[in-house]
Amino acid sequence: MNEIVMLSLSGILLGMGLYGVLTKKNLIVVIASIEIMINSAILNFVIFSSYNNNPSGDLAALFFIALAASEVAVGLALALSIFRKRKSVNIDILNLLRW
Amino acid sequence: MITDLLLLLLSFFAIFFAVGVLYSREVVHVVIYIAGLFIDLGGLYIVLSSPYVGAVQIFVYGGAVTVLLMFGVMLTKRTIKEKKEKIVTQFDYAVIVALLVSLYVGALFSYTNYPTELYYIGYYSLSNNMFGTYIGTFVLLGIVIMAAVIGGVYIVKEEDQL
Repeated sequence: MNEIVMLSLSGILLGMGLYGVLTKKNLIVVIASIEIMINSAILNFVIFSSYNNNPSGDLAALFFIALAASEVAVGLALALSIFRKRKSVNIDILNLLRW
Repeated sequence: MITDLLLLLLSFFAIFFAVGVLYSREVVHVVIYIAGLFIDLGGLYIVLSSPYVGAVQIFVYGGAVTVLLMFGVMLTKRTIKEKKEKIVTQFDYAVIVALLVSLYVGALFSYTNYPTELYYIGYYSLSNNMFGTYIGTFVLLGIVIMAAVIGGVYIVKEEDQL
């Protein structure tokens, strides 16, 4: 399989995650779409590492998996805090930092 | 040959699960589809001859992150249904711009020679790099995760408990 086919899969996943981030209303679904985007980036690293015989890409993928796990923990803590204050996780009602 | 077939099959399932995440109305179905996507990507890493990253992906994403997302859905269960939204303004211009950009990028790609052979990334070189060249990054990552955990606990605490 050529390298470019797998890279196109990564690009397609990135576009789908971006669509979800921009159009969804529920905060949990937005966090899931961000996870899709991070996974497409990690897939990019693994593809380049495997086709070019360089272990640095796999190492970056491992570091980014750990970083993304801590990111989703902070995001869900924010979601719980918002739900406790506003009784909803609809992102249209979040206008605290909006002018 | 069998590797190519497996890669195509897993890619097809990845796109299927991603479409399921985007187009399902119930939030619980979103979490189930995204668990399928994570495990599918772990299998893809294993077929791409990086088995350690695939195992870590299945453990961390397929296990921990999925359970965290499921807890998030269960604890914020009041708005369970997504309303169907219509975002179709300027659809024609969007299609034209997307076709032009993909033609341009495809023309660029067709001039480049890409490698076709997969190389096995072993555990020895991986651990040699992680605890040799990139040991500073490893320690820094531990500090960042500790800060994220403390910050998460601080955010979800009640204000009169501080």
